[in-house]
Order: sequence, then C-alpha cells, then structure tokens
Amino acid sequence: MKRNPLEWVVLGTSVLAIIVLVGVLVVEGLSPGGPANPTVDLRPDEGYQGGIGWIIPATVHNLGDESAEAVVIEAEATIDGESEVSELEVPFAPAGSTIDVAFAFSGRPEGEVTLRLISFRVP
Amino acid sequence: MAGDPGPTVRDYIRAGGSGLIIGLPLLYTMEVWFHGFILSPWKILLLLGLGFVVVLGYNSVAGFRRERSIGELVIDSVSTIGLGIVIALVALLVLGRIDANTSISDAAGKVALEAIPIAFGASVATAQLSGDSGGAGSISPMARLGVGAGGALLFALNVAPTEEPMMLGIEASPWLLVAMVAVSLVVTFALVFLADFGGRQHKRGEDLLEHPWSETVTSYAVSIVVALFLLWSFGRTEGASVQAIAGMTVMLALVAAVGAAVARILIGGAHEGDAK
Repeated sequence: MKRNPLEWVVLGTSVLAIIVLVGVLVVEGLSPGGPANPTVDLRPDEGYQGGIGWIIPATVHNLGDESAEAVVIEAEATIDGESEVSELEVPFAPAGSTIDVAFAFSGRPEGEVTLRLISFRVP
Repeated sequence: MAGDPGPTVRDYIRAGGSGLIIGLPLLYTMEVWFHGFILSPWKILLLLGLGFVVVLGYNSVAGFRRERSIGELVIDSVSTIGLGIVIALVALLVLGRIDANTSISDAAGKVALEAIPIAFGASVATAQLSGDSGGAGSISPMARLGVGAGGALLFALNVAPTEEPMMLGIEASPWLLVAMVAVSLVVTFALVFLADFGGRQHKRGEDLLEHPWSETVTSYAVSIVVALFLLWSFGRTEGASVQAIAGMTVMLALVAAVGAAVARILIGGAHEGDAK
C-alpha cells in the first residue's frame, strides 16, 4: 500500500479528528443528563448610559445538561422611586454554553436589580 | 503563475472543493446549527456512522482515488470523513457559529452534522467535476439501488433539518399526498429513463429490478425509508400523528427520490459496461 507523506498526514489528522469528535459525542451520550438550568450573571458595575436608557450587560448560562429554547428572563429595578421591568428572550441556550445579553432601563437603577426566570421551552 | 501542485494535492483540493460546494447550503442553515445541540449525541453518531457507510459506498464506485484494495478504500473513506470534519470545523469557526462561548458538546454536534454533507460532496462530486465518467462499468441492480439511497440521503439531508417538510406534510390533504406520490414516480422515471442525461442509454436487463418501472418504484420505496429516517433523526416524528408523519414523509420523499435519481444517472446504467 504505497502512500506519500501527505497522504499519511491527512490520514493521521482524519483519524485524530474522528476519534476526538466521536469521543466527545460518546462521553456526552453516556453522561447522566440533568434538565436545562438557565441562569443569568448580571454585571451592574459595567452598566453604562446608552442613547435611550441605562444598559446593564449580563451573561446567560445554561448550567444544565439539556438545551433550552425561548428562555424568557425578567429583571426588575427601581428607577426614580418607580419599579421597572426589563424582559429578555434568548431563542436558544445550548447546554453548557454562554450567551452575552443586556438589560435596559429608563435610568440608572437605585439599589439591587432582581432577576426572575419566566419560562423556557424544552426542545 | 500557479505551478502544478502534484496529483495528491490536486486530489485533496478537488475533494475539499467538492465537499464545500455540496456542504455550503447546510453550513448556512440555522436549523442544522440548532440540531447540533438539540439532538441526542447518539442520533448524531448514528447519522455520522451512516454517512461513513455512504461515503464508503460512493468511494467504491466513484470516489476521488480509483483502483484500490478494500483496505485502501476504508483508509480513503476515513480520510474523506476526516476532511469533512476539518472543513466543517474551519467553516463554522469562520462563520462565527463556534467561538469561545460555545460548549464542547455543542461544537461537536454542529461539526459532526455539517461534516456529513461535506464528506458526501468530497466523495460524490469529485468524480463528476474532474470530468471522470463516474460509471464504474457494470454494477449490480442492488448496488445501483444502494447508490440511489446515498443520493437520496444527500439531497434530503439538505431539506430535512428545516421546518418546511413538516409544514408541507401537515397542511397537505390526502389527495394532494397521493398526487405527490404520482408526481415523484413520474419525475424520477423521466429523469433516469427518458431524459438521457449524458447520453446514458439504459438497456433493459433480465433482472426484475432492472426494469425501468420496477427500478423507479423500488428506488422510491428506498427514498421513503430515507425520508422517514431523516425526519425521525431530526425529531420531527416525536409526538406527531400518523397522518402528519405520512404527510411529511411523502413531501420529503420527493427530494430524496430526485437525489436517488441523480445518483443513478451519474453512476450509469446497470448494463452500460456490457453494452460497450
């Protein structure tokens, strides 16, 4: 079976790529799958004044082993003594992945911003 | 300016290029990215395994390196799948579908699903793009049916992950579905036996499967199975009624049947080798 060095390199790379890919999928398949668990990491310190409101960056994590669709999260804050709600929908939150998002309010919130998971769909 | 890259490099460029041509539509289909993390890893592995079998089959009759032993055929097919995985990974990175925020399981699912059509392209299209006749002489009717199944999988894979077959199937009346079956049979019969693509005349053989109509019907049956399998793979059959599943299958089977017809046209007639 005559093969030149390039063919061996391609074959070696291919075998490695297949082993890694199949390995990851098998490990995923064997691991006990817990339900989806979307959480939000809010970063009020990084908040900034936008064109039409106060913007607070956040990151949505799905800490579960299953993916979640249409994840709706609500953030509540007090601005000028009034309660204000900012709602956000993340179309897809794959298991273990993170998604950068932002909540917006009419002004800089006073005190704590509270978060609430409203709903999500199980694919 | 560009010198001759040599036969081996040229083979790989052809394979990679053909893979990209076939794989591009699915690289740009968001349902495939989403199915990378929605589908169970076992289903993705099953699809990848089936993809390998199809690549093995195609490489044996029209792959990118001809004249080889069974061992070489397996090695070439492993290289084809590997090429598909590497191209899929690079493409998804460049498209920004895999980045630092993507989990390993999500990335692995996406790469595996996208690698399948690219590997199909690498093994199927190369022989045709390189001006090769593609026909490996005389092949048995069963092998021709197998090649057709590969073509069905290749074509239907482009449509199965999307929502359209589901919508078409659910909204169709039973009479529309009957009409669709008839259209599928007539179109594929005409494509393979009347259109005379590439001057490939088909001689009627002794075998029952070699009769044009029986080949059309069996090939359509295979297409139905391929369509149903893909709908199941992409979770479309879960919780669906029997009527809905039948509708989706018939609607997707037209695409599969045309794929099977094209594959049979490319591979040539069962008795082409004998007729020369």
